[in-house]
Amino acid sequence: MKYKQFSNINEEYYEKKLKSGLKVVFIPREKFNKKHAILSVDVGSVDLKIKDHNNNISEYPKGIAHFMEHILFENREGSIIDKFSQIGSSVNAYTGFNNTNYYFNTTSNFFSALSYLFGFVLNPHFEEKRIEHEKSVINQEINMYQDSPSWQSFYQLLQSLYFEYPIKYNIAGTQRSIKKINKKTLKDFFEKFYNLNNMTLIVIGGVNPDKLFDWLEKNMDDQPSNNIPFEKIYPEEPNGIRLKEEDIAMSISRPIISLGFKENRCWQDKEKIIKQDMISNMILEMIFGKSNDHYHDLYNKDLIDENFSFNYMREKNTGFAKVYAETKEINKTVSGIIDIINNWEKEINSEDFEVVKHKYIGRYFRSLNSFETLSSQIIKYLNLEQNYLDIIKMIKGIKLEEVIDQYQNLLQNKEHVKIIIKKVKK
Amino acid sequence: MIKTSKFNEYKTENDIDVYINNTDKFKTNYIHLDIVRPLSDENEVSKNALIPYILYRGSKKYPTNQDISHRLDELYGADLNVSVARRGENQLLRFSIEVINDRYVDYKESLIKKAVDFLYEIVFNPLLDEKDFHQEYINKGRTFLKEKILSLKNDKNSYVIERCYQEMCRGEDFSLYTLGTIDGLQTSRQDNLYNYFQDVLKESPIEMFIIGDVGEADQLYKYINQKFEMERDKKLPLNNTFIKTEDFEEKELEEEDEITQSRLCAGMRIPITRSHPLYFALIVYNGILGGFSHSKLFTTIREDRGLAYYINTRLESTKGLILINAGIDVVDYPIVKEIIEDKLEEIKEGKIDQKNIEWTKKKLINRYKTLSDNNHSIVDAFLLGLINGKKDSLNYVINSIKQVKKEDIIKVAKKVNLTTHFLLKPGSA
Repeated sequence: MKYKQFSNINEEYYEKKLKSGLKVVFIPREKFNKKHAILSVDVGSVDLKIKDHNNNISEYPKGIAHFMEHILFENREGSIIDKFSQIGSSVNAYTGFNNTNYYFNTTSNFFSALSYLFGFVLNPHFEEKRIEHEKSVINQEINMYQDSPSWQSFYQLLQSLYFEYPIKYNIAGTQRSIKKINKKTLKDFFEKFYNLNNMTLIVIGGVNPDKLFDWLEKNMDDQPSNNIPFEKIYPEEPNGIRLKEEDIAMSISRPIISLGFKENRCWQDKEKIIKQDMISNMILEMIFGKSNDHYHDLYNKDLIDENFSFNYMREKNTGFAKVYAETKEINKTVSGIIDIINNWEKEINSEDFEVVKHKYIGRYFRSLNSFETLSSQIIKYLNLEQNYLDIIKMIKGIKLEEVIDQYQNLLQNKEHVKIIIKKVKK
Repeated sequence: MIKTSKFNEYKTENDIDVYINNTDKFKTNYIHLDIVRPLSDENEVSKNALIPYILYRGSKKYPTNQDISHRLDELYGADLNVSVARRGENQLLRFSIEVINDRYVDYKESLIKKAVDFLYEIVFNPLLDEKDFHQEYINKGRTFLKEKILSLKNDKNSYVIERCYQEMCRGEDFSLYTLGTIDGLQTSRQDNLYNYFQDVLKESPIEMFIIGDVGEADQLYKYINQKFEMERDKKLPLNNTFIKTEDFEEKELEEEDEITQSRLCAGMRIPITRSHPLYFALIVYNGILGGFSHSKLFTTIREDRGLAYYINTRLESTKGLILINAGIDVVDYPIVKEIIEDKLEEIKEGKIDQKNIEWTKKKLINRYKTLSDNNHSIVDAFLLGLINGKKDSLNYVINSIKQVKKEDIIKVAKKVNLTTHFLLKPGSA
């Protein structure tokens, strides 16, 4: 068991790998009523192809990880939701590009809830009738997102940035791709990915750590973990972008633009991934943050408004920066943003850089208030073998040279994707 | 044992209510200020909505948005937020700032006091041109608000909810959109907004909340009392909501838009608010019908029939409304409508599983307990209590929910009037 105190942020941290292969992290919060547990499975929407130890390749339909997330909520004993409701707890789940997460919140009966959580994630019941039923629910979910302009602009951006890498597909799949999902595909997918070696449990709240780890060892150690070795296969993604521009029309009040810059240096070194993520986000903040001139220039020219946003997202094998604006002057806004980016180098200075670090630390402390934000960040960092509670050091340690290097490679005079959502013509 | 949050209650000499919750639970200190206005006149609502978006562009001490941002950066990346909200027939002008707790950073002065000072500058010491707010900021605020009003239709779900409220409460103040109207914005050009705002500050209830590790709460109150010195003459009540109890008009409306999925919003009136003996039964009723994933609507429409990805209800407890909200296929509209009516009828007839009642109560209690784990929710919940004239303690709420009987829920069901159906369906915008 690893135990660490982070006195600078007043947090404690427990971590243990159980015999069954399950990794557990516990962060005590005695002063809160809420107890939160999340079980993260190391499989997401991009995992569509694997090679087993006999070199056999299996391929899965797009949207299968998300489908699994839905279908696990029904098992032999009936609705999982009902079980949690019985003890007043609420349960939910979400699927990301690289992981699938099942979680509950409760104020009492924590261990009952925990056993229900493992119970339904580890004991599936695939029944054709339920599978067909879930297809119609997911079709409605897909339709709902189709109508969201911000979701469309994000999805189109990924479609245009990537040639091959499956991050470009809708996490839920398409109406056509989920048609191919059946009992057999689900069973096979489950057997490969859903074992304890491939999972992490995060617990946050007022739980006694001895009781927690005792319970886990008693209940989880004899869980079968049929750890069939296999390798996830991803397509080779060429450098460069697939499409420079994509326009679509929707029923909206004014046009939306998204600009995307693709990361061509997707290092595998895990600490470097986290650092690249931080540095890139800091760069965007320095260029476009509200304390800088550029934001105000664009704002005063009526090219952007409060809806303007930007971020950089680094996942396992992918990374990209995105700048988002709502504007009536599409061309002027795009060229304004691009000019600012290309000419930024001469403005880089250590004073702004120190300010942005402060800002990051402020944001970091706010993120610690929410159990859900904290657990999702812990997972993200843990998958990259880092500890989210220990990142202030990393933030403070970033050097200006690293900033310049990342700016030159990601943004300066680099080709970009332009997604425009126009108003539907009447 | 329930860990509750408790506010120390103060009133400044000029009648600003100050509530301080001294706790070291959170990593931040959160300061929130609400100016409460009656939601009553299209032009006033528009002027009110405009004010926060003018104020946060610049103040006398921090004249540009850049100066404001610099100051926030200095305060360790503090977060300033302004917004406008509707609770019953009250319009809230909301201002808040959240800063890191002093204990986590080396800062030369008390961050919390600096944050109070800063919020004061933004709200009470605006940048002026001779007699009115700085003209450029008025124009910017107006443009921004106009776009914000127009962009309501980008989010189909929020759009149908607002349209449903408008139609079901036509002729009542509640039908006024929180952010006002384009016409109202236009009319506001004729007025001196700064003078108007001075009256707003004088006559409106101002509620201030502070949650965090503040040291001595009394000391902080004294500091605020001094800082917020100004002449006030509070005349307006904290709640201005009219509750309609009869003459409901039934309406069924459809609109077309370039969309894939239809959105349904069904509106119900229940003349029960916080001081009514059936108030807690109403909360349980809402949970049984559609508040949770074990509720009647979700289990029937999603789990059994697969007709929707989402279907839920929301309770507007100040005005006494419940909205049912779902994303469906347009061909399923008649059947979904029928199921909703059936479910309402079932509760009236007492066809409620005991377990549905038990689970709903447990989930509600769970939810109330966790409210005190989030600094923003603490403020929202407490403010609703203030507006409705009932500052119920967490223990009281939990006990009251436990005591709700099936008969009470049936009584509530009999007072429910489903009056409005609003459907947004695929077609041309």
